[in-house]
Formats: sequence, C-alpha cells, structure tokens
Amino acid sequence: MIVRILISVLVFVPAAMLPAVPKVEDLSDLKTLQTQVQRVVLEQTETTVSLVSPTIGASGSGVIVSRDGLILTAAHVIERSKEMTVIFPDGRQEKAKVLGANFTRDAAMAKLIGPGPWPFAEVGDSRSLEIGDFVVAMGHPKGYDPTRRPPVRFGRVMDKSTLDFVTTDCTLIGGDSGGPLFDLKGRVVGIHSHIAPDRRVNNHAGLTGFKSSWENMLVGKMWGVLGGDRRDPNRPVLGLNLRKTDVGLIVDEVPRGGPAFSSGFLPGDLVVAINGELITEVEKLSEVFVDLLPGEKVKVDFSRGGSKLTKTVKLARLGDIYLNERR
Amino acid sequence: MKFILFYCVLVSSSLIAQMGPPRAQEVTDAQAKQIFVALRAAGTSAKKVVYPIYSGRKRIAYGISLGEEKLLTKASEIVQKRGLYTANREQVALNALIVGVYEDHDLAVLQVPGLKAPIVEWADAGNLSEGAFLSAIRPDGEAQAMGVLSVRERSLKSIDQGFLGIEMDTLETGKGVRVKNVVEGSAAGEVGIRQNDIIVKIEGQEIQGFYELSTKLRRLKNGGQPEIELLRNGEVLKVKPTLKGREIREGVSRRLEQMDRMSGGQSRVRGGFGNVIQSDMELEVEDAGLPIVDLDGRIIGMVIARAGRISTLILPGDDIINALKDDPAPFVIEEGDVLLEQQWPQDFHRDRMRRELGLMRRMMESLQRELERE
Repeated sequence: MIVRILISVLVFVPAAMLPAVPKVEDLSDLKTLQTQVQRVVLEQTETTVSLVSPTIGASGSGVIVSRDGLILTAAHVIERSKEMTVIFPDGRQEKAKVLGANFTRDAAMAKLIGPGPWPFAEVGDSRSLEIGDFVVAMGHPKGYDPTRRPPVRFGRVMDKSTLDFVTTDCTLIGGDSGGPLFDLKGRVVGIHSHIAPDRRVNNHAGLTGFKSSWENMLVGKMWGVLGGDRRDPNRPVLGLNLRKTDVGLIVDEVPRGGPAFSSGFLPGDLVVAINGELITEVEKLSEVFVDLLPGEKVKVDFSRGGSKLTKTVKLARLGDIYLNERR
Repeated sequence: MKFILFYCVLVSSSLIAQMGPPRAQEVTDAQAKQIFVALRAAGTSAKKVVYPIYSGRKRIAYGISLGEEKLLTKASEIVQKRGLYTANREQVALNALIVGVYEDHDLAVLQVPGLKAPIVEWADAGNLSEGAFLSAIRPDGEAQAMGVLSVRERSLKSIDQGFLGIEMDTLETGKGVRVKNVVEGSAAGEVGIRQNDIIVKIEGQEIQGFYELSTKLRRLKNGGQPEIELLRNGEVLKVKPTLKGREIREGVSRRLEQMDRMSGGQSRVRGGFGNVIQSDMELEVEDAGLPIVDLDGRIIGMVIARAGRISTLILPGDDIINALKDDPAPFVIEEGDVLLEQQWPQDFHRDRMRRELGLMRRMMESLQRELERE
C-alpha cells in the first residue's frame, strides 16, 4: 500500500511540473525559430554522413559525435557489415570500422579510420524532450546524392514511447536511417530508425537509450533483436520466475541451475530494484535488461520477510536456463 | 486501422509507464494551430494572386495570376482534364482555357475571361539558405502547409551533370579508381582513357574512391574540363577531357518507391526540372500551383510537384520569369490540330450554371462544417 502511494506521488509530481510546450505567437517568434534552425543546419551539415556497406551495398546515414571520429548510426544500417564507406556531404570518402550495436534499440556505433580531427556534433539527451519540442532531422535519403547536401527536415516531437524511442513529424525515408535528429541547440537527440505510412510517424532511437548502451557498443558488443524479442535465447536473465502483485514483483519460482538459484533467492522474495532502478513491472525489468548482456553482474535489492537484502547476480543466457525456449 | 491500433498501444503503454504524455495529439494540434495563425501575416500578398482550379467537382490544382486575365499553373495536372474553371473572390465560377504550355517547366497558362486579379510579384529565392521557413498560401490567406527549405536550387536533369563515360570499379583500394570500361564516343574515349587505367587525381586532388570521383564529375557539369591524372602500367599520364551530359537515369529501388507511395499521392511529373528548390512541406498532388512565401511574405516560387514522402518541389520565381519571356507552345487537343483557345464549348452557359450550382453546394457544405465546428 505504501509503495502504491509512493508510486502515485512519483507519477503526479513530475506531471504537474511539466514545462510548457514551446509557443509561437507571431511572425517574430517564427523568425527567431528560423534563425535557430538555420544555425543548426550550418553547424551540423558536415557531421551528417552517408554510410554505405561495401559488401552489401546497402546505404544509410550516420552522425559523427567525437573529434576522433566516433559515428552513431542505426543497428539495421550496419547489420552484417564489418566496415562501412563514409561519404561526407562534400563527396569526400573515408572508411569506418563497425563497433557494436544494440539491435533492440536499433542503436549502433562505428569509428572512422584515420586520425582526424573530424567535424562532430555534441551528444544530447532524449529523455528531457517534451511533446511539441522543435527538432531538425538530417540524413542522406535514398542514398548519397552528389547534387545536394543532406536535405533538412524540420518538425516537432509528436510522441515518446518505450525504450526511449521518439516520434516526430520530420519526414524520413529509406537512406535516412542512422541519420541524426538534432534539438535546436544542435545536439544529437535521436537517430532515425523506422517509419509508419502516416507522415507524422517517424521514429528515432533516443540518445538516452544510446547512452545506456554506450560502453558495451564502444567495446564492440552486438546484441538484441530489431523490434525486440522476449524469446531471444541470447537475452540476459536472472533466472527468476516473477509474479506481479499489488506490492510489486514477487518471486514465484527459482529454476535450478540459474544464477538467482546459486545466489540463494527464494520463492516469496520481493524484488525492489535492479542496479538502483526501482522495479515494479516486468516491462521496467526488460527496460533495465535491454542494455545488458549475459555474463554482466547486476545488483538486486529485494526484501524477504520485511528485511532489506542486496545480492550481486551474474546474468545468464535465457536459452541456457529455459532449455525449452531455446530455438 | 493498424496505425490506430499502434497508436493505442503507444498511448496505453506510456500511460502505464508514467501517466504521460498527456493528450500528445491535442498538444501538438494546438501548437500547429498557433503556428498557422502566426503564418497568416506572411501570406497577405500571396493570397491575392492565388486561385483554385477545378475540373468537374474536384479542385485539381491552384493557379497564380499573371495579370491580363491569365493564370499560371502546373501543366501535367490540368491538360488532360475537361471543363476547367476557377472561382473569383465573389465565388463566381469563371471558365479557364489553356492558352499554351511550357513543357520544360511543366507550366501551363490559362486564360480566364472576367478574372480581375493583380499580377504576381516574384521575389528572388537565391538568398535563402537551408532551413529557411517556407509556406504555401491558399486563396483564403491560410497556409496549406509549412516547411523548410531542404535543398537549395539545383538541376534535377542528369544531362546537366558532367559525364566522363567510364564504368568505375567500386572496389576500394584506398588509392584511385580503376576504370572497368570506357563508353564509346564518350569524353573518356576521346582523350584515350583505357580499361584498367587508375584515375588517381582530378583537378590536382587525390581520389580515394568511387564516390569521390563520381561526385567531382557530376558537380563539374556538362562541358566541364577537369585535368585528370591516371596511372597506366606504372606510368603517370595527364588528360583533359571535355565532359558530356549524363544520360543515365538513376534507378530507384522498389522498396523506396513503396515507401513514397504509402506516404500519400505523388505528382505524375515530378522530376527532370532544370532548377528547383526542395522543401519538406507536406502537400497533396492537387496543391500544385500554390505560391510559396518566406517569412517576409515574399513570393519566392510556385509548387511544381509533390515528389514523395519527404519532398515538395518548388519552381523559383526568377526561373518562372525567365521561362515566361518566351511565348508558350500552343496547346493542342487530341482530336485534331485545333487549338483549344479557339474552341469555346458549345454548352458553355449550361456548364457555367452547373458549376455555379456546384460551387454553391460546396459553399453550403463548408458553411455547415463551420457550424458543426462551433
């Protein structure tokens, strides 16, 4: 009951403190906005590159985010490629090595070969974006085209969804994938991912999600499934069968041979938090796990018979614990 | 339906997650309304020169007044339609007849007897840079759409781009591009470029690969004379070809075509323009002919095509002025070589009555919609 009240407080306080939607009341407001957009375009055009897979021939976009040439792109752009040809808006051609990718977030990294210094954009944050915030999208739609610079699209945040995906009305099409969504300060806040037939539904992988997968991608790990798949045998698990109750997630069963079993979890334990993140829903658990791989250690806060306990658990592969789910 | 379902899932999942975002669509709709109200101030001169063009009961395009009872519109959207008419500001239907066309620009000039409209004043679009705010203004002064300048003026004609006439090896070796084949009679052939030559420099700049070389050549344009350095059997050779026009049409993948198709209608004629501005403003096929203004209210061009999900093409005003310096080609109807302007429909008056009734019905409908909205 106390937990419930606590949750509702957590929910309603931020809702009341939501900043107002950016307002445009007259032509001079629009002119100010136009100046901001044009500045973003001027400063960020050369950071927006086209990426072509030399082996598969598929082409997408990317954005350089560090002086030494780190590129953010979409996971489906670098899928099955070890190297990408990087084409700058002026036609200059370079090479990049593919680093890691979290397919569930459609997030990936590559690194320009060569010392640089490269032009780069600053990395922003997508969680602080609000509905109605103005944004600028760039990319190389339909592949690199020598007759133009990356076409500019202007729009607003229309919605936010799970796993830090952001929906805008900046229209995108094939080839834009992996390209940057900028806020009005020119910071990368999203990476173009997928679209719906409705022109107002253009989805971008939010930068906050990129940040939570950053280290694993940087060291070259590849994991997850495009669109997400709860039955992915390579998904990391604790080895706990949980039941949702009014007070939170309660352990129903602890399968033998799983990491939670060896750590001494018992049926009836109430899971409170993982790596400091409060867990009350299975969805929240999946969100925390989306950035992790089997073999990584997590800190589990739980309560047993009124006392608070903490254990560190090494995550296992889903397919290794639940053999019948192995494909 | 699928989308609605998807939206419901989105909304419900976010509701569960943190009771928000509250009424996302209400928020964005209200914001859009605000922006469109602010844009009215930019449409004051454009609204005076724009007229709807109807065929039967359907609006098929807009036209911009050239004075002397003439309207300028997109040719390919109207030439095959019968019974063209417009409506003046008193909502009286006026017949429109095709005087002639500018095929290269896909423009048509209509004669509208009785039309009293001011002459459009085109402004220079050349000083606008990417990200400039543009809007398409309707006769009622509202913006039909707002967008930004996505790509500056450029030619969409491949013939304007430089063509050397070699097939390039896309294999990346890190230094130069190998010539896989030489097209007979091409610029490359004329200066003796041969198969297996390695192009290492163009205009003194080292070439790393296929994209660099192709970009350089295509930006050099038809008639360009770049100095090219190549390696043949370890020897360095220099040649100076005169580039020809590119006649190769770029193929578009079926997947991309499908993406464009699923995202709304596209104009039948949407490519091959000699000079256009690309914008991301979301218009429909029947919005061709709308005047485009910048935030200062200057009329910088006319919508010439809806060209896919991300693209609306705009003919810059200065290009229109240049095109109109010549007389349009007479428009010929299929039945015989008789000019339509000489052929006044026999049942003109009956048609006009019917159109006026149609217009009245449309007005009634819009009035009713207004009332329902109240």
